[in-house]
Amino acid sequence: MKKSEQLLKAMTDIDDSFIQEATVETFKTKKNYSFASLLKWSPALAVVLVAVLITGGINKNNNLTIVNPQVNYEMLSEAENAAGFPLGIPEEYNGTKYSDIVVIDEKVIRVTYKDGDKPVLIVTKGLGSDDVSGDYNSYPEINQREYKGFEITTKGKDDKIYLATWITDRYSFALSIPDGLDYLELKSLFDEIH
Amino acid sequence: MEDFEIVELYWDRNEDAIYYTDQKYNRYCNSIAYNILFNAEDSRECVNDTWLKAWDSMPPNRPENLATYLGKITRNLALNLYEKLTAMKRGGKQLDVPLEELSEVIGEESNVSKYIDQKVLSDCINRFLKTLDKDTRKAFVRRYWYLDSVKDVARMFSLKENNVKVMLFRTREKLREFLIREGYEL
Repeated sequence: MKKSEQLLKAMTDIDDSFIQEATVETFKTKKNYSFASLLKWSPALAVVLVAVLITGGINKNNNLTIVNPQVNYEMLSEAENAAGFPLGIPEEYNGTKYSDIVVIDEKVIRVTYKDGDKPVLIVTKGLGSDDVSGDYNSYPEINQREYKGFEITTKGKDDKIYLATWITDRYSFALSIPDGLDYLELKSLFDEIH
Repeated sequence: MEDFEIVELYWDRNEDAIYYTDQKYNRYCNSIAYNILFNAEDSRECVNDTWLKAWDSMPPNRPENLATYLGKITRNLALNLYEKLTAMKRGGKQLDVPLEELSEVIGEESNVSKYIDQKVLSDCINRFLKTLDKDTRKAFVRRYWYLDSVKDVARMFSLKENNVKVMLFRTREKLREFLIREGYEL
């Protein structure tokens, strides 16, 4: 193990107080308030103060509020609003509809099509050019193919494609197909997304 | 539910302990794991293993701070999984940058004969962290314990990324000097 890795691991056992001190909730947003803007809030503040006096104070508990990197949504439109960009996807894929809709870190949308509990297609789109697939498997067959002006990297084996990724000027895309598909089917899927 | 009540459930071997732990700390632990693994499934696996380790370790442990107790378990599990995935060439490169930064502190070689006692090193890091002002320490912990990106650390402090980079660079230099004074050969 490299010494830097040992140092990183040794960091794990630092004092609890230092870890607690740095939780997200301890960071306050710095804002500059003018007196006029504070006056605007004074009726609301008065209500809060009265409520606090009646209830006997604010209950501090030990809940740590850490920004969740993943948020689930019921509707694609909600996820698109959260991430700030649209995701064009087919309503159905091989007889399955999309179900799990997740926004990761407020900048990646991931939608999963399932047959029962089994994922059959995962479509991911994110801001920027980083790989958004979340797939770190090794594949023996890696190809770069140009299609409609986009350079698509496909990964798979035995002539089946399990992962396809490409980028545009703003976004990064990934298609994960657990059962694999051929290039013709991939092109058809690509057309539905773009 | 308060932490001490959850810990009592563990001690009573009441499986509701896992439920309440998950309710309260799933996001926290998932965030720690995700910052290391950048994979939802692997992060979930780590979090689930954290609950298992918590169940196996309480009793005899009775942590005063349940959050950090769980967080440390998750961090360890995630780093171990990251190491395993990297060895199998399945891991991503998301820790390359913080590791490179830390190699400025301690060097890069992977000489087994110079294995560093982690407990001793942790104690040393604790003493070093005490010397820092609060904000610098918080930034250092966010970067190298929580493994937030520099961008996220900058956002938390409402600072520019460059300012955070400089702050962290200077702190790493100080850590290096501190370790040398403590007798480490770097």
